[in-house]
Amino acid sequence: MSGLRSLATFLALAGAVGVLAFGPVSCRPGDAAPEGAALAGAGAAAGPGQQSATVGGNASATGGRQGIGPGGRSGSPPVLVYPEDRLVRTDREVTYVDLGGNERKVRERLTADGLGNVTLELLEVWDDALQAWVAPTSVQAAVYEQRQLYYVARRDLHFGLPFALQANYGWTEDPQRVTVAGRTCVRTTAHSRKGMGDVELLHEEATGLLLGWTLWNPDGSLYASLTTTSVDDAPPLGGIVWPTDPVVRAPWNDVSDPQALGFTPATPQYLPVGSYLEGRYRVTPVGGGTEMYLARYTDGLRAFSILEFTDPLATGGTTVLSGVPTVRLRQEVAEIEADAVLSGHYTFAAGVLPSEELQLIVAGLLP
Amino acid sequence: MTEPRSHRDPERPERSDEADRPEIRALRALGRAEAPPELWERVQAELRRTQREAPRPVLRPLFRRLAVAAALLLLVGGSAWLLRPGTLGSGSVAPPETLVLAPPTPPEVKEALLAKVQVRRYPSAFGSVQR
Repeated sequence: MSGLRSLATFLALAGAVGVLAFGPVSCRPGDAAPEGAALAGAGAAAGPGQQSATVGGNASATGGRQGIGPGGRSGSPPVLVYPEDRLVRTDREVTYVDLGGNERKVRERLTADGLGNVTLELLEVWDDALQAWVAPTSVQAAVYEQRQLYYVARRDLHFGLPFALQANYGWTEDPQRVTVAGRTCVRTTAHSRKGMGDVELLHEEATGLLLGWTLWNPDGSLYASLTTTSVDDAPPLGGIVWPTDPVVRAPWNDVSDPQALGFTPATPQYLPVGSYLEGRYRVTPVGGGTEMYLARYTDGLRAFSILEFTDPLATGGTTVLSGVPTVRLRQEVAEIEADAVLSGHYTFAAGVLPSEELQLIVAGLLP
Repeated sequence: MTEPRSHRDPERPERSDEADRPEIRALRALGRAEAPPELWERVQAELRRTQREAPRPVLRPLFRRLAVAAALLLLVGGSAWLLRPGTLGSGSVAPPETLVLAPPTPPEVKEALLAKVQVRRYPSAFGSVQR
């Protein structure tokens, strides 16, 4: 019974995560994240999951963050080409540190047709006990199936507004080139001016194709990294079923939408320093289901989202223990999610942030 | 049959100013007879005397220089305007009017928020170890 409950929880979480990935006014093809079916289950399940996106970096490819000195930080962000915007197939290895402090790894394959269609397939998962790569479980595969567009759009690193990139980070380009997946790459470090932790990028020198990133915690420890292991510029696309956006996102209307959804979104009492609001949306599942409020934020590199909805069928699902609201934390692949449920009202925060940041965000949304 | 008007008829009166000229009157007086050479010489001399030399386009080079100078001025001024802070180069870095970066939160506010809730960690589909 508990197994079924866990499975339902995972699928619900995956659904909610997919919603976060969407942005109604997005111009990036990967912004459309799938997850319609999970939306309906999100409220009825033990708890909705918030998705957080984590940006990984390729520490292995770059040799660690110590490789770039702190000097000369007056540079500019590089010009990047994201894999999902090209005809390409890349195999990647994502490394992240879970909430228990354990390093975990997965292998995934991104395929894009350069026309807006993209898939992200989970290939293998590192098994600590076996010390070997193993095939993913059905639950892990299901999580990826539902979150693939979200992972591409929000977990993977993308630049925010140039002003935020310059205000929040100083930029240094390593004069020494590195080789990633057989491609000559430029390594650029974004030094956080706000104490949020540095970020390293690896992009192909000739094309600007982003092939790796590493995200560091404020204390210098690894948060997550992504390293591309192979690149195919002419992949076979036959037989690929491209995932579609299962929700419709529309710009949030402060007058009509609260009436329609039955609640007014909470005003955040806490936001990570340097972050800014990218957009607020009303999310409607294509096949019907609970409508949600979605707000997306970033500091230019670290993206996170806030999701709220009220599920009348889950009125009893209140995460209050001993009279104190409970914030639930969960980490999936290179992402951390936090949520709280009070009288059927779900509040999520998920993003490429340390767990404490997400706890603060959710706590700041509670009454 | 009317004679084409384009043919000049010596009998037809010319424009009044020409008709008043003594040479013309003398020619008319001769009718179709051949004019004496001295008369033609006088006519040619008169024509040379009254012929004005076409004016030299002394202003055209000046206008050309002015046009070039104006174009250069526009080019230099436009480039300076485009390259100034807030236009092209750094324009994309300028904050949109609605963009507000979140300020730092005082530690006591963070502590108050964290004290407001309790935290529980849930297992992950990708690893059961959660402290």
